[in-house]
Amino acid sequence: MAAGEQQQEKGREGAYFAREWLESTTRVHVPWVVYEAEQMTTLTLLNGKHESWDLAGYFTGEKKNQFYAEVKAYSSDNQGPKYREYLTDCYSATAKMIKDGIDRECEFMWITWHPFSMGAWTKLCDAETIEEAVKQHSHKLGDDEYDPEIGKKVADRLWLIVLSERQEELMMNREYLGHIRSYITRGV
Amino acid sequence: MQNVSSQIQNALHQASPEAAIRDVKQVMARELQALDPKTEIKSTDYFNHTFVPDFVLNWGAGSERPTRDVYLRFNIDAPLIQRDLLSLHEESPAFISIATTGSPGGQTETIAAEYDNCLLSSAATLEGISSEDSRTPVSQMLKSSLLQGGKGYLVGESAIDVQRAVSHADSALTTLDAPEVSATVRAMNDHFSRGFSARIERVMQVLWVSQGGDATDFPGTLESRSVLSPDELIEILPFLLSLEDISNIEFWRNLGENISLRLLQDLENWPTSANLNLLVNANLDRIKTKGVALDQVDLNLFDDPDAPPYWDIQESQLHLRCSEIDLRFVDDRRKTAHRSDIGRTPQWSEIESRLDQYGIEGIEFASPGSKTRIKSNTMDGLRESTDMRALSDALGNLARVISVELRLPDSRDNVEIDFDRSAVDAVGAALSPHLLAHLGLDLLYQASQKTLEDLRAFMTVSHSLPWWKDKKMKRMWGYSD
Repeated sequence: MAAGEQQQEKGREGAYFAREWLESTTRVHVPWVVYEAEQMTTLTLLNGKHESWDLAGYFTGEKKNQFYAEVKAYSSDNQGPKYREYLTDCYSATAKMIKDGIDRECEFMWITWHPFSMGAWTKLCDAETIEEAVKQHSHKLGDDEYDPEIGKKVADRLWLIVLSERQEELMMNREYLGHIRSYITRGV
Repeated sequence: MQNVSSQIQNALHQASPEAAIRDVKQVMARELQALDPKTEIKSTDYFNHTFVPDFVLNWGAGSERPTRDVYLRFNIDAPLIQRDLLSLHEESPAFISIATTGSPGGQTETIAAEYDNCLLSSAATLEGISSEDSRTPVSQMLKSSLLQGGKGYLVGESAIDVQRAVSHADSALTTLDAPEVSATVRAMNDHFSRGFSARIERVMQVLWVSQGGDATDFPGTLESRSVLSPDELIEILPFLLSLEDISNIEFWRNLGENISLRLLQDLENWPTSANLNLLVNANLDRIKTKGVALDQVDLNLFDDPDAPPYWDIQESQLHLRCSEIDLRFVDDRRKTAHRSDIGRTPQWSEIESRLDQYGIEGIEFASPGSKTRIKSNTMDGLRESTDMRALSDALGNLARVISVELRLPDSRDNVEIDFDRSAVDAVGAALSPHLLAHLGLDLLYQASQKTLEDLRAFMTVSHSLPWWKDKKMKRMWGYSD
C-alpha cells in the first residue's frame, strides 16, 4: 500500500473510531460519515464552494444542534495550517447560513490524536484566532467582510478534542452499551 | 414503482438530513414488512448508529415475544462490518446494507461465517426475495424466517439459493421433486439458524407425506417422521400462527394430527387470526373438550355484532366468540363447576320445540320450594315414557328447567345442558367443540337459525370441512348441505 493510501486508510479508520467514541458518550448521534454520504457532511461557504467534514451528527440532549467534525488521525503536530483553514470554513459556513436567514447553530469539532500549536493551545477556539485564520483564507468569504459578531458565535460553537489510541480502553464496554440499547429499544 | 435502491438514493439526496433519515427508514420498513407482513417492525429514533438498531422486529403472540435488532449500514463490507460484528454479535442482529454493494467480498463472507448467528444482507437482496410472488405455506415460512432467523452473508450471488427456494419449494413438494426439495433444505441449513431450518424441514416432511411421498424418501437432514408430535407442535405452532394468512385448509389439517385442547391451551394467549381459525376449524374432530361455558359479553363501541365467529386463546383457555356470546372450552368440568345462577332458566314451553330433535335422558325442574330430577332408565329416553309438558304444568307456572341431559344419536355420548350455570358439559367422553358450541348456542341462548348457520359455515370453512355432514349430525340437526 502506497504512503498516500496508507494515510487515507488511517484517516478513514480514524473517522470511524471517532464516530464510535462520540456515540459511546450517548450525548450525540453521528449518522453521517463522509465516506458514506458525502452530501450530508457538506456545507456551503460564502464563496459558493462546498466543504465536507468527516462526520456530521446531532446532539441528543436538550439542544438538538447539528455538528460537523473534522477528524485528524495524525501522529504529528503539523496541523496548524489545516486547523486555520478549518476555522475559516466553520466561520464561512456559519456566516452563509446567517446570510441566508437560517442560523442552524451548527457546532464544529476538531478531533485530533496529537496536540498542535502548543504555544497558542488555550486560544485555539477564541474569536481572535478565528479572525486571524479568516484573514489568511479570505477568499473563502467571497465578497463578504469578516463580521466579529459572527466570529464570537462561531467561537462559542467550537470543540477541540484530543483522542488517543488507548481511548478505546476507556469507552463504555459492550455489556453496558447493551444495557443502554435495551433501555432505548425495549424500555428495560 | 422504483426499486428499493433508487428509492433510498432519492431519499439520501434531499437537502434535509432529517427528511433523508425519515424517508430511508420508511423505505426500509416497507421492504422488511413486505418480506414478512406479520412481523411487527418498530422503528427507533436512531439511524446508522453504532450500537442502537434502526429497527426492532417482534413476532409471535405468546408471553415472551422473540425479537431481532436490525441495523442499517451504508455498506457491509470488510473491514467496517467486522467492528460491528465484534461488538454486536451477541444479540444475533441483522445488518442490512442500504447502498449498492460494490464488489461482494469473499472476505466479508469469511468474516460473516465467524459470526454464525448474524445476518448480513442488502436492501436490494431482500427486495429480490420478497418480490417472489408466492403465498404458499413453505414460501411464507421461508420469507418470514429470513428476517427472524436468517444468518450469514446473503447478498447478490450468495442469495440465489434462498430466492430459488422461496419460488420453488411448494411446487417441488407438490410434485415430490426430490432434487428441488433437497436444494431448499440445503439453502435453509446454509442461511437460517438451526431452529428455523429444522422447523420448516419438519413441516416440509409432513407436506411431503401428505402428497403421497414416503417419509423415508424425504431428502432432508432430520429423522423421518410423518406427523408432528405434540412437543413439535408446541414449538412450531407459534411460528406458523404468526405467518401471513395461510388459507390452505389441507395444510392445517395435515399438521394437526396430534393437536389437542391441552396443546392449544399451552399457547397461553393468542389473539384471533385467520391462521388460528383455520388451525382449530380444520381439526375440530381432534380437539376434545369436557365442557363449554357461555357468557354474554358487552360489545365494545366498534365491535360489529354481525362479525363472523372467531377463535382466540386467553389465559390458557380456548375461546370462541360468536356475536355477543363468548364460549370458553375446558378440559376439566371442575373449571366451570363453580358457576351458578349465571344463565336464565327457561320454562319448558320456551325450549320444548328446540328440544324436539334431541333425545332427552334426564331433566331437572325447579319450582318454589322444590326440585325435581328425573332420569330415563331405558335406552329410549324420557320422551317415550314421560309427558314433560304435563310434568311442568304439574309443578306450576313458576317451574323452570334447570338442566337437561341429552343423548347424541347413535352414540353413548351424553351432554348436559345446564341452564343455571350457562354451560354444556360432556357426560363421559370428551366431545368436539363444535358439538358443544352448537348445543350451547341453540339451547342456552336460543340462537336464531341464521346465527347457527353462520357458526356452521365458519366451522366448516364455508362447508369445505365435513363437520355436521355425518349421519349423526344430520339427524340431530336436520342439517343438509
